[in-house]
Amino acid sequence: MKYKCDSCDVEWDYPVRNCIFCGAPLSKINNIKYQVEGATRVLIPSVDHPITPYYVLLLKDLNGSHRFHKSFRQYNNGDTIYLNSNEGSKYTIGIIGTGVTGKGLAELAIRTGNNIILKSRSEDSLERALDGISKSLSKEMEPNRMKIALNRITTTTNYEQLATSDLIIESVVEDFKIKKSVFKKLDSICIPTTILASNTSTLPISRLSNGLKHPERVIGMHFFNPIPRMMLVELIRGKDTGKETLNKATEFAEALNKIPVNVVDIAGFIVNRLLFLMINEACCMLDSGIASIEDIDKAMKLGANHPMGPFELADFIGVDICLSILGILYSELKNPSYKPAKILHIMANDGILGRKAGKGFYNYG
Amino acid sequence: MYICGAGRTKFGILRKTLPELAYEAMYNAINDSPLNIREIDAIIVSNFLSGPSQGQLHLNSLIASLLPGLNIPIYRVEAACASGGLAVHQATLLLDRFENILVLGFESMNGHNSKLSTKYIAMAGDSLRDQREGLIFPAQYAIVADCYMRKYKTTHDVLSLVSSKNHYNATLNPLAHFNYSGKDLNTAMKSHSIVSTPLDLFDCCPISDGAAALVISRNKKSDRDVKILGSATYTDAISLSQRNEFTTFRAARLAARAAYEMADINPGEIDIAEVHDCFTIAEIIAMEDLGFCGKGEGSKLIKDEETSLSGKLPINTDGGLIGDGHPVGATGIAQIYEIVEQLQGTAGRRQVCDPRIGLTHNVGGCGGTAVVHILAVS
Repeated sequence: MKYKCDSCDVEWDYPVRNCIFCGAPLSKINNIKYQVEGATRVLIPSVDHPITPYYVLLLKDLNGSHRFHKSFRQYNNGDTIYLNSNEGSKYTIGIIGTGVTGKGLAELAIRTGNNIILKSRSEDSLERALDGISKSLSKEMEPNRMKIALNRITTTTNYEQLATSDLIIESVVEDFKIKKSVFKKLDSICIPTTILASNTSTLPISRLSNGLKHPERVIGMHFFNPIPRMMLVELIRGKDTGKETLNKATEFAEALNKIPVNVVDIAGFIVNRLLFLMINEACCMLDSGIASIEDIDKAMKLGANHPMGPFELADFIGVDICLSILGILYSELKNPSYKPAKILHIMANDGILGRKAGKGFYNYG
Repeated sequence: MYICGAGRTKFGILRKTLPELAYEAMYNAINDSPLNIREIDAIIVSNFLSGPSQGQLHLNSLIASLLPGLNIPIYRVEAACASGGLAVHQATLLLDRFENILVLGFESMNGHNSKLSTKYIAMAGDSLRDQREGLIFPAQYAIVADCYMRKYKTTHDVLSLVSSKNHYNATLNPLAHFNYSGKDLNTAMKSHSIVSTPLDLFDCCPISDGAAALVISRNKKSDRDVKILGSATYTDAISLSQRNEFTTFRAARLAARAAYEMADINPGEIDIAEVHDCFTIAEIIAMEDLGFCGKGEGSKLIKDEETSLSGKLPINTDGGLIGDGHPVGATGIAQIYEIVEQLQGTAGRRQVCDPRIGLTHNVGGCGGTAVVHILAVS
């Protein structure tokens, strides 16, 4: 946003009210279309920008004014780029589901200045979700700013309210039939430019988009818990996902301060395919008495610089979830290394499910 | 206006406290002058980052602690990398009131996690328009280099020539941060460790500790005094993105013009110059902004070696910020220290042949502040 004095032909980049040269009130200029005029690829990490490399682009708008913009994508000189500079609201993002992921996404989206529409089946769960989000925000936001942030959330139990969103991310239960019905509904009510994303960690995107009117606008956006802290989002393109959809999803990821990686539509994508292999192998090592839980965790933390060992991670994710994801990976990839270790079956049967149960590989008192 | 004393410390990774650095430079400057410290009427202190990086502010009083019982007026000046030059300029303005002013600049920048240092140095840019968008300090000049190379169809080779010239000069300066013998430098430069495209490590000045001081007087104290013919500063918007020129700094052009007018000379009369080469590209732009050549012609001066020690207009004879180092608060003062040494003929192995008029060019941020001084033998 720029502020201009028409009589003096002077512009400010700051929200000033009157011209200091003549006293006249200023008009606002809002530009969203920019052209890349210069760029640098930064390889030095700093406290506020720890992930490198990234690009800083020198952008010029239609009136010849400039601004800088950080991006993880490379652009060429002369490329056109659209940035919504409406202060405080970048995109309208629909979020379906109020589980851990739904709440995390909602918090992230408002923290990064977007408007969100949170959809759930019941008013009750929406209320609980709002409570959870305010509690989390209140830890580090002063009351006034928090109020402004919370004002950007609209809650609804109606799909119709989502129809004009820029992006909708669903994080309903990991069940093909339920997710498929969500996508059918969204496809029929949303304007054609709305990008439809699934946060699925296991289901094929191509099957979710199959048979829709606009399968090209469906993509996987797989976030990681805890969402406000984890930098990654996996962008999964199904066989029908359009190039424009991938580009837009990349822009959304950046608007949410996440770093995207691209991967094709295959079970486990990148992170889970590697992560659950490690967790399963750790369980097998434990089964065969190679090392203790504590020593395996210690070894991976100190030897591979992982912040959590495989058992701490399994407890964090939930033993039952590990078992079900490994089962899917095993049947999809046909690789025996993914065959769930015996101990996972036993623990799941006995309700020793990890952190959420108070007891898993470790005890949580 | 005369400079009757100049002193400095070695620049580099020094592991010395702020008071130690400050004291050493003040001590050397006073000893170089015919004055006693009791004859100093006021001090101007230049520093950039002691607040965030050392947790130390109230620097004027910190300096008073080093001069027990003196209780004289002390002022602090901060203008990012131009803090030193601006402090000297302030002194020239205060000479109406005080007969003898000591100008002291110091900075201690090492001993931190480099991610923190990178964040602190980025504070020279706008916090929202630059810092939030990831425009760390080298990235600012990388954008300038990117635009310059495109506009004037130059390559990175000419930037490397600036770096090797300045590193060579630093080998002749015993107080410099770096000392590469020719062979070491060529091997090191080949590593091409990119910082922010198109700039590599050798396009950048180092993060240095160090201090420098000058004694400036209203009246001439001795025949070896150096005369201040011109002193000028101008400013520009803090973010490069708030301007429309990326290959020249308007503040520097304005300061140069004002300093030339005050000294009543033209750029052709300058015998020697210290310019603000925080990055190689900045030296090329400085030569153009100072009128040593036309726009886009800076690389020709470098290629023809006209700015080397034996050239027509030697530039950055002490190694510049790239070779001598860049302890930010001290830098603008150290530039003047070098010109004083050269004009007095005491620059040792890097002495150029009989210079009469010298110039210093000190820039803050990415051209947001510029200070130009013109000095002459008295």
